[in-house]
Amino acid sequence: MELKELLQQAPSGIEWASIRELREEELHLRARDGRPDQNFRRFNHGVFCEVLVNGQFAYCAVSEPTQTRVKEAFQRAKQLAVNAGQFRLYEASASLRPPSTGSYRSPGSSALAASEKSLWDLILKSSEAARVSSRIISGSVVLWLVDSQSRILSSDGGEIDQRFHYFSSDVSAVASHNGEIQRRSESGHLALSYQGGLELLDSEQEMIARAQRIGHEAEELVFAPQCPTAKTDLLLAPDQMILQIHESIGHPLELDRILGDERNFAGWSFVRKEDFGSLKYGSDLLNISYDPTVREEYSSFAYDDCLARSEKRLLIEKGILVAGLGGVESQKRLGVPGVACTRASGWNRPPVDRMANLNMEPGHSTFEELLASIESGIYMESNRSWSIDDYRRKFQFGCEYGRVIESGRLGHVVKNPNYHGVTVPFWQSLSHVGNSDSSRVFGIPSCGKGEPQQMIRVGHASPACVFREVEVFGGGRR
Amino acid sequence: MNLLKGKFFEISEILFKSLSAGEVLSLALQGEESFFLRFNNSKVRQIGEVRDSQLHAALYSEGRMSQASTTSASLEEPDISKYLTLLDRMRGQLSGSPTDQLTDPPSSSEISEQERSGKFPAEESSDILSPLRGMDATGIYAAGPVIRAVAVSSGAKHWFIDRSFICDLTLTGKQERMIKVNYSGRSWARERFEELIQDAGSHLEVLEKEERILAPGDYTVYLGPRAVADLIRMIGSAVGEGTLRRTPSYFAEMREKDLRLSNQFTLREEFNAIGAPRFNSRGETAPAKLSIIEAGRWKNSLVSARSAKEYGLSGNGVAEIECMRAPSVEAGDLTTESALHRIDQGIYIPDLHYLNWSDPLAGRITGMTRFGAAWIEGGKLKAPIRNMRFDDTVSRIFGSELLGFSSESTFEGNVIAYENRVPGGAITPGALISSFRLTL
Repeated sequence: MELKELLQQAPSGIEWASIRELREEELHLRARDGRPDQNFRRFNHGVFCEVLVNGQFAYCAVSEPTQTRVKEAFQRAKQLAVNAGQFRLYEASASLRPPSTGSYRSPGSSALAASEKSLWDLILKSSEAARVSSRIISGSVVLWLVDSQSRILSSDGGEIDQRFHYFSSDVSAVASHNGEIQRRSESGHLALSYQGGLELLDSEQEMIARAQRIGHEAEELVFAPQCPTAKTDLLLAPDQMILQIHESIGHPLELDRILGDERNFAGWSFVRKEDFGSLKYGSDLLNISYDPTVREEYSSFAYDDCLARSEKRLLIEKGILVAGLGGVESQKRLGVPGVACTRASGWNRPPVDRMANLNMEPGHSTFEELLASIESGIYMESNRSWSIDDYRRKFQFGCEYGRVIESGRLGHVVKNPNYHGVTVPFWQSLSHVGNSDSSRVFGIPSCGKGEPQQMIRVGHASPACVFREVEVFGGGRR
Repeated sequence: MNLLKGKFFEISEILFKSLSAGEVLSLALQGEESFFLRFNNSKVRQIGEVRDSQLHAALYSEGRMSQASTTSASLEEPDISKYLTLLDRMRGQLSGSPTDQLTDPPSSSEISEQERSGKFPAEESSDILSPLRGMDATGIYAAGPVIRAVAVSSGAKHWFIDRSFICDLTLTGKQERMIKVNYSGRSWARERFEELIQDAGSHLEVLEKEERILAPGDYTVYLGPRAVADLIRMIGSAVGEGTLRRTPSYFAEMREKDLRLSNQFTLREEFNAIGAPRFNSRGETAPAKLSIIEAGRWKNSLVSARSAKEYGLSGNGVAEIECMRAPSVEAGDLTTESALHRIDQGIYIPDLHYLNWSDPLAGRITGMTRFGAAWIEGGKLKAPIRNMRFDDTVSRIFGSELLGFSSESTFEGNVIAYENRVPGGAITPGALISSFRLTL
């Protein structure tokens, strides 16, 4: 049955209705040590039926929609909206779901069209290639391919059709020597996640080269000393910057969090309404943009799940907080500027404010200049551990791979590099920002928040950056 | 959504009859009909219902395996052709896949059935929000049936329905002091809910005093049952055989070198007490009780069929991802009151937040204190503390620095519901720790 016909199942006696349909097909392949380890295909189809009654939204979401199921779902949503009326948090209106019309298409072509045999040949060989010596106890390669279509129709004429191709790959190796075991991946868990398809698939030669590099770096780590404990200068590679941005800028700027919606689970924020336009979040070098327009970046799109048109906007400009991560609904509730970013993980969850693509604008320093600015310090790559408090202030991050910096040069490798700090002083210690040559784009497939919980895709781009006087330390038992 | 046992097994039989010689098929149904009431300031933030049903299948043939899952509609009027088409696609997947020496088709013929009824509100916001009137409460009420079922062409049949609710919320008082309340189970009793809210309100009064700011250092702490559960969930995801063999793992060293934790620390899977389904997607049943760590000594890893074949071990009926599903820590003999009385100066930590491994080989975990953390003096709660970061090891927390567990344990239902609600939870006591490192 057509989506328009399903929308017509909405009952009378409501002010507004919409139906959001998601269809997804995904393929997960994993090879380990030259053997197949996971061979999984998923088909996901459902609809989210939303109504507005007496200023209260309510929903009922069903898998595999039929006319009967959708009719029942709309009835249920109406009933829940009516029951909730006396406990309404705020008076909603249809203006919070603007009747936009438009579409979006990911770049590239579906990687799901590739022959599975060719994909298996590629990842089996490269997982073997990661085992560069007998010290490598495990070498793995993952491919995760997704085709997704999201359509929204609303009773006042809104019509959105967005189609995505997602491509993720990862190579990892675990090395062991004399009781020391270290894991090395490419930039952290599934950070190589993008929009696109077959054109992103590397050749066999390229994949093997990636795997061998990872294998060698895993070996380096088992022979490396612990990261020293010091208050020192820190040079973060882009694949750690993405987590720093994600946890200590992205989440605290979510307007629904500032409104207190997430206090029970994901947390609150130290950012308050009055901070917009005035809070000195970081040094003058800090420029953060919300950008859904970078074609290959993981979380690009044209319309959010509340039908609002999404556009690029600076959130932090020369260190000053200017706008938040919140869609039309949160902007109205809080009375601050935001962006169209209200999204759901799938058909079975209601949309909430999300990061989408959150990027650090490149600066002017070459990587060599970043190094040269450091007399003594630590360089860290590839996030492996992240933790932050519920107001988004006190954080601790661990990386896979570090190197000492001495007199402006990279020195020996160190293992278990960790650092901790407090958000605003940390960003105010930002002293150098790499130029676009060092800037890289990554994705995070599993950003979690909301109640009930949901995980969503976000993208981050960043150059390498230098921070002054940060507390760093290694691992080991006390 | 009506999910009927008979229909699921009927569909399974049709699919099994369509198998070719040498093919083995397992089917796992995951479904729910869940009412969600999300609230902020004790008012409705989002309200809705999810009716979800997913069928997971694994097909084995000639040394190959393929897996697939699909959303499905009501089993009352199943679209058999859709499932037969899925089976054909899986055959296509198999033909493009390499052979897999670790593939081990399931051969279980075990049968089980468990239905748990429940009585709880499922649509009226007032049932949940009226007792919270006048307070600043944020959280979620989730309720409804959750189904898990498995059928395998070798004969295994399992059916499980749990009708339960969970109300997980935070009360915010003056100066943004917060305290958590969790009420979960199968029979909603408004009086019990109101009692929990009232108890939390009393604790909140202590927290509304002036906050103490602590310096980093080592402190005597009493971890409440929920804080212990947070730590156990970290451990529970790290005791699989694959994790021990192929990643930096403290528990691998613990096993190899017979390292000891406190003899007061016993961690088990206890399915009957916790109410999680015991079967896996292969139709295999886990033991009702399985010791992971017994009196401080390593006993068992979680061994999937795949790990069993790879390492020459016996499987213990766990899921493929080898994580604990029904963790339970044995209680001790301290009452909570006596545990607090033993602290001359220290901290009461009811909840932890955002845990992660800072060094998994060393068994080192970092995270934050969160709701309701308070300074203790002379055995009494005196004032809230500003939340602190900890970074400490399993070998100290549940080893050298563990003074004892409380005699009272708490069951908390699974709150986390990414993609879908998960039946089960954890049973944990509180823990008195003589030295717990706070770092920031």
